[in-house]
Amino acid sequence: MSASIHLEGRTFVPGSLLRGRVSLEPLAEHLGRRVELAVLWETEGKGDTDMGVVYYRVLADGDEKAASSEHAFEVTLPFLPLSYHGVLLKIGWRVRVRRLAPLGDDFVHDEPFELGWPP
Amino acid sequence: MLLVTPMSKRAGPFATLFQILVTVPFAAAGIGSIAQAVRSGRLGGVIPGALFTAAAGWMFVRAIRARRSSESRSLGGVSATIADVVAPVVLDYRTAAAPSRTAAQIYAPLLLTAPLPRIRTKPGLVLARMLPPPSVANVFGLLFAAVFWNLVTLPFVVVAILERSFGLAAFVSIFVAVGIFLAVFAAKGILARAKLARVELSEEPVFVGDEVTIHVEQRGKAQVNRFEVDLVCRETVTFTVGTDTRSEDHDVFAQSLVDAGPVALARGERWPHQVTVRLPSNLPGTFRSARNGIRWLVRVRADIAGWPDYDELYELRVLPKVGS
Repeated sequence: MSASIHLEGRTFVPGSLLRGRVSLEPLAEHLGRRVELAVLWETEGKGDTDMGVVYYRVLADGDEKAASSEHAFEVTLPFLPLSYHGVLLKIGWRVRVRRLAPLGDDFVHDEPFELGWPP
Repeated sequence: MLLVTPMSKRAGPFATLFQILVTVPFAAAGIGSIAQAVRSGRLGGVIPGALFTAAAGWMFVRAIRARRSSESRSLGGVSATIADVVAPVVLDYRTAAAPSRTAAQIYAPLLLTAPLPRIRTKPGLVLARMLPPPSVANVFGLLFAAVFWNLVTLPFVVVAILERSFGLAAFVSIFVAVGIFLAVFAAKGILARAKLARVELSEEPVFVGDEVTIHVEQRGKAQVNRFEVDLVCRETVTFTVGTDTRSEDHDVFAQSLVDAGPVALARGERWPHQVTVRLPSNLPGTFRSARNGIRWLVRVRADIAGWPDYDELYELRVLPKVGS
């Protein structure tokens, strides 16, 4: 399966509206699988990963039409945490599409973006 | 509400099946015990049966839940709540009066739900807010553990001496010595806290890039050889290596505010230090999640003659300036 995520911008101000759309193009045998969309922040770096989800939606779950169409979404972004690129710790924001696989690894596609105030 | 959860992989089907199979003996034992108790009329037997059944149910729910994606496990009516909280603030900071608002006012709706530490300040005696002293839970926990350790090991030494088995007594004394060392270490920590400095701020939380006045006061009676106060911005991460959990720090920013001494303070005498500092605007704000964080700290160190020294951290929240 492939999925493409289109965002109206790469950098966002806290409290602003993030708009985007997800296009799903699954293989025929994957049409019945559950597909989830989430907007989240995640820590990276030396520490174990923490995450916070600010938006979550099931795009398809057995519905073949929904599994192969385009889905628009919008979410008001929170004030915290801002994107951060430190030495031991990084905080990254991303839109994530996950297709759950009953066996094996899930298909996960991330589209990163920055959340911060202009310098 | 912004929900913060440790990220974990989705469990595979075989792992889930194994976890469910593990619940079967628990459920069987629990239900069997309840049935037996009811049949024999001994209702006291229902309680352990119920506990086993509940444990089986809990393990079953956990096994099923682990099959869900980490994103869906982090969820709970999130987006609407965030929009409700954020929207009024966005409108406010765009108004002309917004710049005069403090970080506490701007971020008030988010302080309990955003990934930030919970810091309960009190009104200060000199400045607006007093930072809470560092927690004593660890020190008292260590003291409790040391006392417990000695209560377990000491009787063996006594019995060994009474039975004139001095070799065994000497061997067990090593364990007692470890317990005494831990107790003394904990007691020194508790004593050091009796003379901790008081730390107050002109405001808390504070914006990155703003000026903040810090008031630190050492109390007597004390012969202070050296007294140091630093302002630190620190990345802290926690990670697991095998079965160990380790943490590591990196100071992004550190500035010395006070380096003074020696001075002799009489009983009840106060030694105040007040510094105004501008927080660099290019630094990150405070962040706290389950295993990672960016901490802003007032670090106070005191070398006190004839008394345990201390090196303590007082945490404050520094938040991004809205609209900057």
